Amino acid sequence: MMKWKGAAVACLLAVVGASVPTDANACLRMKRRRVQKVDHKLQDVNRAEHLLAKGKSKAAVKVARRRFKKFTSVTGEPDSGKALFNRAQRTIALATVRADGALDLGRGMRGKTEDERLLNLAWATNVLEVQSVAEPDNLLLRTYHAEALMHHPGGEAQAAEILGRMSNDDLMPTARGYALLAQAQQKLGDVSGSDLSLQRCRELGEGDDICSVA
Amino acid sequence: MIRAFPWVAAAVLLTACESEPAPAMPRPTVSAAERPPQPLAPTRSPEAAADATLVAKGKGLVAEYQCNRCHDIAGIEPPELDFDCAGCHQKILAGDFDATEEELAHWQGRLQSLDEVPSLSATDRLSRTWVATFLPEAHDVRPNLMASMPRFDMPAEDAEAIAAFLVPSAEAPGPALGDAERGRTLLSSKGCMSCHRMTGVPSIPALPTAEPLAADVLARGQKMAPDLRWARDRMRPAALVQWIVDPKAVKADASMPSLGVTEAEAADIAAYLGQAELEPVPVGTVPALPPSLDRAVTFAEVNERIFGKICRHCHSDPNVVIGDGGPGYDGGFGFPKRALDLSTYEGLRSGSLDDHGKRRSVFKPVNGQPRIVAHLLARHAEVAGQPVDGVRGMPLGLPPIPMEDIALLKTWIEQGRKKGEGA
Repeated sequence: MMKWKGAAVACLLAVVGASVPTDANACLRMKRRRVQKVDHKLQDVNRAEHLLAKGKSKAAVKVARRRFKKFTSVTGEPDSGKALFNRAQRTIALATVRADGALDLGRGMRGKTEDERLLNLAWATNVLEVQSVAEPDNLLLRTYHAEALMHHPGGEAQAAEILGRMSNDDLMPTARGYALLAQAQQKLGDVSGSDLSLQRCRELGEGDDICSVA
Repeated sequence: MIRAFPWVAAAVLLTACESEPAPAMPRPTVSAAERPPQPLAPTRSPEAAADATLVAKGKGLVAEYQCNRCHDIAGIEPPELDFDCAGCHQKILAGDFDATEEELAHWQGRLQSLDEVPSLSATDRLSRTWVATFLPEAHDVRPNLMASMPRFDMPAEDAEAIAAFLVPSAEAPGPALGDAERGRTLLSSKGCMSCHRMTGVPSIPALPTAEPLAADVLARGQKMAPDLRWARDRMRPAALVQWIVDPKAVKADASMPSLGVTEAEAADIAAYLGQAELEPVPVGTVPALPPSLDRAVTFAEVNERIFGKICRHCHSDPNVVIGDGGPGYDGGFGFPKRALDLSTYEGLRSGSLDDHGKRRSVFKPVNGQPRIVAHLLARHAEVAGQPVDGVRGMPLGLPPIPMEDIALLKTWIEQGRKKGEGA
């Protein structure tokens, strides 16, 4: 606030004190800067996605929640902000999945007890399924949904079906998708399929930190 | 993408062009007796007024094909900025775009196309037949504009309706044509070749205009000037003569200035434009695709050189760009939705929708190349005037991606399409 006041005074002085040579564009530039819309929501969503990609689930949730208090709602925000809301929500949901539900998502969803953890996982899986159905062109979202399914007893069959289709069509968006498929196939007893999926994962240049079956 | 409804003039222009010195001497010309003229447009019957129903249909199709993303069109509202390719570019160049100074400076340094786009006003000067023929098989008419008219997937009946909307009026009877050889001399002496070129005829010397043109007028004229070989088909003969005499009287925003050409002189020039014997349009050669590189290629490198620089403008996930994903994602320019996101590694790997709405990999072979490579090679063939089998050249309406960059992409694919660092 003080900075703007200072800038305004400086501009005023520049106009009044016409005898003092000034950069006439300075005030105009300042004005333009002031009216530029800084989309803090977008900045935060980008940052949250980046944090999650770096494996920082807790930090990602913290940043994403900051601008989207009602993130648990499946109906989301009005259409004008829905795309951004969805990205924030899926980031929180995926972070929750990767923490196996053990993340504090707020009242009633602290993720501390077994029930709270399962509740979080159920919520996150539901969010990712709903978004995946709503955005059928987003294959990355399908891998997120499959990843969530893997955290539920018996979910590996559905996950293998989703991921296997993408693999067969050469449409797997990430190396992690192949690793998830390998895990699902292993749980289903398909050892050779699992080995092949791991091989494809490694062919995309990833190491054992991604391309392994835990 | 896009530019050009090569509408605008056929004609004549101007000035002393210091950057394009005139050839020392014209090639020897062949006399009219040795080379009989090829009367083209002037001999055909004048076009009747277009059917009102077809005109109305054409107006709807102009909206459907989103011609206003690039062109200002009389009677058609401009699009929202999100869909306004030319408007967005022009705002960036003018510094009016809502962005930081750093972003603007970055974009201004890279932006090369759509700074000028011919408006679609006064299009009644054009031949309706030519418009209908040109739209489905567009080629470059304005050689100095970076973007050219995209090659639409446009049925003939749609092209005819759009042509009817753009050229609804009956054609005035053709004027008495003048002396073609004198017209050729006038093209030189009036300064027309300072901006125009006319391929297919012996070189016409570029002499200066009688009155020097302002630098900005000259620069705009040179940028927008069509190759005059197309004038005989593009322009209605009577309109061509009017245009040569006073372009701005025909079209207020014409880039061509008036050069003090009399009506009789314009008739001479029109005669040459319509009757000069033209060499066939040469079929160009497609440069060879260099061999794959023997070094590691990262996605970050491919993204910097190809996808991030050009492709993502039309192929982006709307949820990431928070707006229109572009015609190559959401559909547009008459093309169906392809849902191809070339703004991210994951999007590229996720493929695109085929004609039946089923996802397909962009790496599966087409014409012996990965699909995405085949599209880039096809653009080279299109520009060279060679036939292309089954894939549309990309980038749409822009110069081809250099072969060295295509080789880079192909190498990356052959090396396993790894994401790598920095992507």
